[in-house]
Amino acid sequence: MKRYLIVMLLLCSSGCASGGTRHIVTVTAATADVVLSSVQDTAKALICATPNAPPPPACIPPEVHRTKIATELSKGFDADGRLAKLIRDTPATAPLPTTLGQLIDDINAVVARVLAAIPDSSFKTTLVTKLGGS
Amino acid sequence: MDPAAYLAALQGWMALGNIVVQGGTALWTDLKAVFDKHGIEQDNAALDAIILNAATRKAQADRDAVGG
Repeated sequence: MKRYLIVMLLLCSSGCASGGTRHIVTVTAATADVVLSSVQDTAKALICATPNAPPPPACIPPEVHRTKIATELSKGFDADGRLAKLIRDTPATAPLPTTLGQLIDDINAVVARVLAAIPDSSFKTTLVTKLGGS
Repeated sequence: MDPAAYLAALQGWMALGNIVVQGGTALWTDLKAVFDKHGIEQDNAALDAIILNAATRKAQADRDAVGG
């Protein structure tokens, strides 16, 4: 999955010379938004004892979801919103702020930590596959 | 194009992005030509949609973090 966002960033680099950078980082921000949203929806669906959640050990204990996953996702969506706002506030002809890369790194780190907190199962495999990871 | 429709279009492109990842950069050249037709107004509409979605989902995560 991290590779997926990195590829988007590389595509951004390849587009810089043609002036399409702002548009391409917009797609990167949209990618981050979709990835985080997919992770949030999947994690909530996997909380133990919720309807359609798998049995232990494949489900996520409520305490783990509350203290680790939700907390991390809050940070991730905060970075996601700041990333989009940073691009939004940058005129098309202006260079993009260098902090943009740090925000993408922050989102990648959040997704990695959340995925690490989700127990291995076919549900997790499906999520990672959906995100373009391996 | 309204923000939701544009975001949906971006998500469609992202699905194609998987093909780009797997198939190298040849397809990227074609995609970029499509890309460049989008204007700053459409990008800003998409960014506004992302900002709104991120705020909504952060609020949900904050509620989840306190057991709400």
